[in-house]
Amino acid sequence: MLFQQREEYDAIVVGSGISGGWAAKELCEKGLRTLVLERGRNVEHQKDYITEHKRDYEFPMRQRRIPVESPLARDYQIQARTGQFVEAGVHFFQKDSEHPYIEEKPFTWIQGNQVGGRSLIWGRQTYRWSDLDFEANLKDGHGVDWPIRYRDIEPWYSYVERFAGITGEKLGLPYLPDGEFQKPMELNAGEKFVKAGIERAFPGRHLTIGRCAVLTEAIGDRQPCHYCGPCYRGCSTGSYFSSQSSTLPAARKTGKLTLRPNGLAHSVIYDETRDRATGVRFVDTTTGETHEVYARVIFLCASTLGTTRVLLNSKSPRFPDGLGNSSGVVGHYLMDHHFMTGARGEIPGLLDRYYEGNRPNGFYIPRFRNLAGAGSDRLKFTRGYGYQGGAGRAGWGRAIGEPGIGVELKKKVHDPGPWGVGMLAFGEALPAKENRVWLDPQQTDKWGIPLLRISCEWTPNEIAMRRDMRDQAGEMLEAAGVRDVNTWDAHQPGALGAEPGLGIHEMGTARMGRDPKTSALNANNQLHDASNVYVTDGACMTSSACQNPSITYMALTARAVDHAVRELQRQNL
Amino acid sequence: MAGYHSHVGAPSPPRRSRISTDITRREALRRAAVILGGTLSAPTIAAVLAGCGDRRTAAKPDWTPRTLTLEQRAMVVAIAETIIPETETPGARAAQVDQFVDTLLTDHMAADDKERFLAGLGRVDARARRMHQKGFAELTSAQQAEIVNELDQLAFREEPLAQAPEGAAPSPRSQESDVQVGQGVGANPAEAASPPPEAGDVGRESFFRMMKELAVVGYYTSEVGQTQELRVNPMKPYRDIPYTPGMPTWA
Repeated sequence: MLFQQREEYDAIVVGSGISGGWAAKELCEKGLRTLVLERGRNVEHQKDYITEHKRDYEFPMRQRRIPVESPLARDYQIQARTGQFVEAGVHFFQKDSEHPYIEEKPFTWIQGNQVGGRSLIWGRQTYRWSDLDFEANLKDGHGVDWPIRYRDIEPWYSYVERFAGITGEKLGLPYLPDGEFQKPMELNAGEKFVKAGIERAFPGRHLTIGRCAVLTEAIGDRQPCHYCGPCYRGCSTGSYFSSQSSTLPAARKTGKLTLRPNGLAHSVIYDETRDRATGVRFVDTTTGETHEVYARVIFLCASTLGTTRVLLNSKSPRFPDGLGNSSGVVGHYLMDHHFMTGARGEIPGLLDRYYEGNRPNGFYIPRFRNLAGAGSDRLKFTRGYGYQGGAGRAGWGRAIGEPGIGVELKKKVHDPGPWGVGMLAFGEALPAKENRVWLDPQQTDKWGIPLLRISCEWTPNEIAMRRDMRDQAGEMLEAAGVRDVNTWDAHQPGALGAEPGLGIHEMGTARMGRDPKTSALNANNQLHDASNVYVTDGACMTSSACQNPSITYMALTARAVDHAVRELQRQNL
Repeated sequence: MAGYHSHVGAPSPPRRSRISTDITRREALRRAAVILGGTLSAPTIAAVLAGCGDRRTAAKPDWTPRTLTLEQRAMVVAIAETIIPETETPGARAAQVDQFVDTLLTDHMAADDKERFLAGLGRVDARARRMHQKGFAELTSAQQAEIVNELDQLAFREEPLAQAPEGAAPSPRSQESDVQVGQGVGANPAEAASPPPEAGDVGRESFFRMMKELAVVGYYTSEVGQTQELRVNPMKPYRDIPYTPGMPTWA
């Protein structure tokens, strides 16, 4: 490598997605000159939302999902497995042909590849965890105990929620704590019918409007949602939370931010003589050149598997198995939420009700299993699950599945049809050592970085839980008075359908814990091996709970930055 | 392109297909309005109408299909229009469903689905020729509707075909590919007899299910479908509202 002038910052953040954006904002606002490395291309807020507000008919394929077999999916053989891979959003997914990995068992790794990462295309559902979740491992013995409890993270949830902007309804449930909510969105008539029916038949179960990171009230320049619908195309009014709309602009405003797109992190630089991490080695993907940058503190927020790959690739005589991996746990305990099972049916009547506006949200049914603690219901499984769903009136799509042609058909589907409702469950997965990722000893990407190999499958607990997820969905809808209820489950062992990764909530491969022998990170998200390296993306998660995890990554990140800056001031880092 | 004989070599001169020659003044205006974004000046209207009278101009395709032959394209237009005809609002033809179908065949479908579709199209044409001695696209609307209705019933039939006469069907478009368009064939007493169903036309995996889906999606996601037949759900705060009869479904 050519001699280069030593490039130094106060802090380096790897990744610009949900966690990286928060790290950048908090570090910059606390006065640290911060470099954000993003492996993907630059995307400018507003200007680069090239499909926003386009009508369906402006797309040659009318906004259809692009299947794996399609010629357009040639470079996206993994990404095309998610239903979110549609014509209007292709440009926010990475090309698998450029960033491959190896599946020992089916595992779908959905990745963004741009400034803002997956925060541009996330589902925006945001639910706090509670001590039911933080104590679960301790109670039923799976995994290791979380080194934190709800009280440690509670003020940070409030802090990030006030900035991100979360809409939702307060329910006062101890196991799904209320947040700093903006006014809730409205349920439609069909959803109100199902809510009333479920809550009547099952006291203690609740149906509420989704809690989500979409504004119903302005925050600064960010406008309330205008209900155009397809958030994943980007939002020029900044109405949903993304790094692009929210955290990166805040970081930029301080004048302390340097953003480096096309910078693929290779490894963390560890100085054995000083016994500390000193910087990050990265590849400029446009030139292929390797660069080194230095800082006093490093935040790895490259997504669960991206961060894990960097740690495993940070090999040195002191850490031959990768930085942070003295315990040997890095890469193990990979989790995701298992879903793609649920029920649907037809709601009778209500033909005098409709709805208007394109609501980027649905309903949520909080967990109701094992609420007295993991395993407390004496079911065939421990932990629990929640449901997400929605109701609506049948539209023109019903013309496809029914006989009839001509004027009659056209007339029939001109008017909205009967009400339907569907919901699917998101279940907690247990941390299992054999579910893991590691570096392939031979194969590398085109920049010379070893490829990840992934071996992951649902444990028997998830399989047992899925039956209940499916059956309870059916029972609740039937009890609510829904007709023609069908239950379904897309899971096929060893095959695609509901494989791990598809939930896009992968986590757990550099877990937090109390003991350096059984965990990679401490209670402040610092590596036990190197206290000036923090990991605050999904890799840090000790268990998975069943709630959508991003709001927890945000809170942990803000909390970790607060810790890092205090430690820097005390000269402890 | 399995199961379908297409012209090989130099492109044949454009046929006067139903697509353009049957165009009505109203349709011409609508189509122009779609292309021009809805506002038409008087000279433009005049030009469109003048062009309408010139059959050679009108027959020139405004786009070139990438997968469909011109004959297949004409069939797609005719079948789609039969499924979703013009009423007080435009139908599938005016919504240019043929372009959508060609795009999906070229860029979206897996190779075997594409083959299945083109083979099905070939069978429809063969059926038309056995019944009426004309290609499907050249039949009257009533004759087309009769065939499409039959295909619809077969496609939604629950029980499978008792004995699939696979291989028994004559190779589609074997010797008739040079039948002159518009050449009159008188009423034939045998033409009402419809050939026995083939496996590819029955049930969930039938050609017609595919065709119907493409026609429906192509129509209701088109500008015509979304703005003239239906209405686009407005960008308004989401509300639970009363439904009053006559309100169209959201596009």
